[in-house]
Amino acid sequence: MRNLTVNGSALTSGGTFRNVTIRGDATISGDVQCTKWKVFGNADVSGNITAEVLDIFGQVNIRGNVSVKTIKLFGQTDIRGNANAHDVHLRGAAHIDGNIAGGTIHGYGEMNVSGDCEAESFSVKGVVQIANTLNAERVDLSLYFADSRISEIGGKTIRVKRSKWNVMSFFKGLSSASTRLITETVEGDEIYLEHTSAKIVRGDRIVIGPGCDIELIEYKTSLQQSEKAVVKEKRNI
Amino acid sequence: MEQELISKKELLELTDISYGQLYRWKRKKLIPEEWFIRKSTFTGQETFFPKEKILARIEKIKQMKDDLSLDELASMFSPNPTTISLHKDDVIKRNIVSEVALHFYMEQKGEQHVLSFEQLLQLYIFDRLLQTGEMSLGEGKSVFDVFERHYTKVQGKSCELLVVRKMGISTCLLATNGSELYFEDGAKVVARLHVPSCIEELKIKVTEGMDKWSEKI
Repeated sequence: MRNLTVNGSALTSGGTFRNVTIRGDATISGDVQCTKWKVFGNADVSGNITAEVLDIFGQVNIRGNVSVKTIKLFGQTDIRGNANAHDVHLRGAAHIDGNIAGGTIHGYGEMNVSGDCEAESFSVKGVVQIANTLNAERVDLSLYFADSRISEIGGKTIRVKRSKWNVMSFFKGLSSASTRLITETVEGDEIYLEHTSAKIVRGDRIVIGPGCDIELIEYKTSLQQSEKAVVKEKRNI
Repeated sequence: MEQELISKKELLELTDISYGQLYRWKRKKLIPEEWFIRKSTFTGQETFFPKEKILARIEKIKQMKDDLSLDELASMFSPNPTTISLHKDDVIKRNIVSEVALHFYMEQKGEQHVLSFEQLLQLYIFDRLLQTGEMSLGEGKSVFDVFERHYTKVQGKSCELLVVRKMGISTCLLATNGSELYFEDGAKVVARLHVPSCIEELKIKVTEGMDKWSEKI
């Protein structure tokens, strides 16, 4: 099978390849199917991408859907369609206009999803914005740098904490950015929350840490609450 | 048709499952997205489900989750009939093939909990031949063998299954349509079945049952 290599700047059509390597700037019109896709620089793809491995160092814009086994993002990636990956390593910023489904999604940086996000394990440090539901077996979210917004979180174990080590705390005076999670609903078996504003938190065993502001908690087995948290209403069901 | 709804909270209480399980099953597509109905209430957004459907489905999942992996379950609930697979108890309960035929199949091919659409097709055709008396139980093995070996080659094409018998000895073969077949004297074509129409019939049987099954409490 052929390889596609771009050194410099090129405009090319899609196709089926073994390895696709882009050093520089490439515009690909059409779908790309390949084993390995590496971008050092810029790439703009108008179609869908199906690959085993996708490594992005730089900036990539994909107008279609992405279906890969492993995806590593160092830099900025925009996906207009849906993303499906077994393994997602995030080291930068990812914007997904559709839904993202994966086995594991982990890393640090910024993640912005306009649809749903589903994974077996979701572990991200940074800023996460999900317009619909974050559904994962394990959710581990480290709040860092700015506010995260997720309308609904569901899963088995859910942990939200504020990252301890925070360079930005030096600049706190300069920026008004707070570091909170703002959400409507959190539902899970085991929940630990810090610095979270939520309307409803429902679960079996719930621990509410410092900085939380929660309107209603419904718990089954146990509830612990920090002195530095505000909870308007608690119900044991 | 106005259907009765149940809130997520009530559902968990009633069925004694956890949030973790519910979200996992949704992720694995065991519960279809359309069943999650969002409505705003005085406490904000709440999720509701069509009561009868969701209760039946969860009962089903709870019953079978010890025997089957979640992925196997997911393919069972898939709306696409050709990727459907059924639990052996359902095959009997919903009267898709007779118990005699299924029992014989298990004897030949080993005990199996889940049957794929292709396996069901073999069974369905065999059962039909059995019911019409055109084939005896012992001859069933040749139907299974010819399908297992050669069905993938004729899949999607129009083909026929023929059962031929001479002096009490029988054999069966798959022939693509349009091919002319000539037999020696004394050989008798006992049965001739058009496979695609059998597939259609089976699909209808399987999906009809699905509806009934998801509608019953």
